[in-house]
Amino acid sequence: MTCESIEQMLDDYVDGALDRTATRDVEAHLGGCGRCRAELDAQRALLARVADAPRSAAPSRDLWPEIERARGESLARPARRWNIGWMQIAAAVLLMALSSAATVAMLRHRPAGDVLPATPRRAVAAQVRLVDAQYLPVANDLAALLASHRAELAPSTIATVERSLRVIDEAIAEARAALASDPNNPDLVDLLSAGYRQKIDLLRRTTQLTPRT
Amino acid sequence: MAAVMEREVRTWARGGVTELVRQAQAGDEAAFGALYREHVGRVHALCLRLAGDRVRAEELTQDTFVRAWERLSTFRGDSAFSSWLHRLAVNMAFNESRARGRRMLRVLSEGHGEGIDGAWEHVPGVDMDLERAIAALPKGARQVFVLHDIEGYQHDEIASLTGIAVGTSKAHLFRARRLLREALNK
Amino acid sequence: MRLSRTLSCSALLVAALVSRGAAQKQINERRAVGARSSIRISNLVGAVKVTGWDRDSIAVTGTIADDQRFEMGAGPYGAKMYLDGPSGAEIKPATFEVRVPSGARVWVKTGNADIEVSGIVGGLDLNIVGGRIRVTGSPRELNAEAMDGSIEIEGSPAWLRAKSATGAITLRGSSEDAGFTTVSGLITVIGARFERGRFESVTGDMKVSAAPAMAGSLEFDTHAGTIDLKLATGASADVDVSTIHGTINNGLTSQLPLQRADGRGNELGTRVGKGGALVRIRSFKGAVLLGRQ
Repeated sequence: MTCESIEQMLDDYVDGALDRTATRDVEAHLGGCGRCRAELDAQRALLARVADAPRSAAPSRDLWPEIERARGESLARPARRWNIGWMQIAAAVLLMALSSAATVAMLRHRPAGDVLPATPRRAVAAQVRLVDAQYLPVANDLAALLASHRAELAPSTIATVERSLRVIDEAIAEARAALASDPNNPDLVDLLSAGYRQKIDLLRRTTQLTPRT
Repeated sequence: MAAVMEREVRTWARGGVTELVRQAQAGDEAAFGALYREHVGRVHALCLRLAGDRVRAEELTQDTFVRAWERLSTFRGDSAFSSWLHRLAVNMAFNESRARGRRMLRVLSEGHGEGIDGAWEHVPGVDMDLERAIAALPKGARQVFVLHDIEGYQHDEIASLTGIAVGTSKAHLFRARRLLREALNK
Repeated sequence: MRLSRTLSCSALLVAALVSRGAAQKQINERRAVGARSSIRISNLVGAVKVTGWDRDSIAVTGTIADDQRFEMGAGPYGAKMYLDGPSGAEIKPATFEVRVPSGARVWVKTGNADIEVSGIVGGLDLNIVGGRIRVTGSPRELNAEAMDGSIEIEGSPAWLRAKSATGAITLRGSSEDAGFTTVSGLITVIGARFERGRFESVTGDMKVSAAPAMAGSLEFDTHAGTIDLKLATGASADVDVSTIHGTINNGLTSQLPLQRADGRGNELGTRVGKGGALVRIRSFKGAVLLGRQ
């Protein structure tokens, strides 16, 4: 296989879209061709960079009023009332509490509880500030929400949650301490973010528990 | 690997009709409002990259949600709600003759990059060089690139969504990736 | 204080309960539902067993105590059922078994009681606080969450998210897109093939024996857990490990881990076989052990 024909196939190769024979051919060529391997690496580097690109970007203004207006006529009929349970109250309070752009942007970047892509290896110190700015208010709001509903949870559940929160907080503290002496380490930012994510995920899941469990 | 990561992004939400969606389908405005808040960031990012222009992106985003609200009853949970919403956004972006209320959706034209800076500025983790490079791509290449490498659609899906042939889609992607690499290595 | 719940379905039917003596009631309900219905089960007093079958109906059987309440509604969307008892009372075992169309989407929630599911190919969303979630079979999607409960999966859900704070998570099977999250619980994966696997813990150890697909990825994040990864024979991957304080033991290739230039932390970048898949490991102070199955 010539380098030109490999080049045509590299896109599919990188996307995992080649059949087994074609894959073997490409890999056989790559095994002995530095130039094509470099092409492949460059392709992967680009895709890795793209993979880190944020999937979510809040619009600069709230579009909801206009959406509502455009939909105005159809809302003439009254919305059906649903009984609001404790969980829905919690969710509503959460949404209201997290109205600042930073926290909403963070939540929109990913659904609460799922994983965030790793921080790009640039402007690490700025990333740490951003991470703090995003996560801390959310974590505090959730913790406050939890505190106000604590009495509804079983003691054993509270014990599990508090034990786990202590473990997470210790990990966060260690990551921060390490960052203080190694502020340009992107892996530390990832680890710090991972700690915050765990905290928010745990708090969120706890606020969704049914009373008495 | 990229395709796999894109698939991760597309499958984050499980398929099915969640409680919130069901409430919205039943007419609960607050529920749809909550869906809007949950999904607007992702829809807007998609529209921003497809349109390459901040103002058009906001219009597209709005139109997508209005449309989604109108057509909510047709969502039956065969896919994740976010996937359904995204398809709607892509449909809106590629359909030039849609009139929405008093406003006509304008034809998507080449972006020059300056228009998007402000839109990405406050987004954590943004790679401005990359976003500008994407916005500067020729329209066909940019749209296929966004759909394939960022949103995770496969070529046959892109072909059916946009009306181009699979071969054309692949050619656009090849070109987009090459142009991006050149632009970013300067 | 409990909030009363009104079931939101088109036809609310209260189950007919047959008294069998002072202490118990039998549940025996059957309803026609569509093959891909949504079934929602909430049992706050005991365990739930769900079995998939190939009928377009749902059958509920169980024995509950006299002071426990069962409500069920079914409609075109599927069914909802709810089992509850007086708060503070000692939980008398409520055995509760539900048969649903195998293609259904099933949401189950208990308190501190087991959920056991088999034969479902649709979707599952399972929530416990303590106890055990056990899933056999290969649902298209599986979301399982516990606080200190454990999660065991024997099968290959295409999409999987399993979370427990302190409980253990175990998978015997494969997945296209899987995520495992614990705080201190042990994560064990045996013989799995992943397109994408994501493993996160704070202090929980991980014992993973897996094969990433050719263009797949495995990502591990931990603060202090030990990561013991064994790649399948023949698996190819580009491996990228970085720790701040943890040791790295490379049994996959002859490459030695390096200390970072500034002395802070260890890292290892090595290609196993022909590369292709990505294995990325980040640990603060947990040890990383790499080897072959």
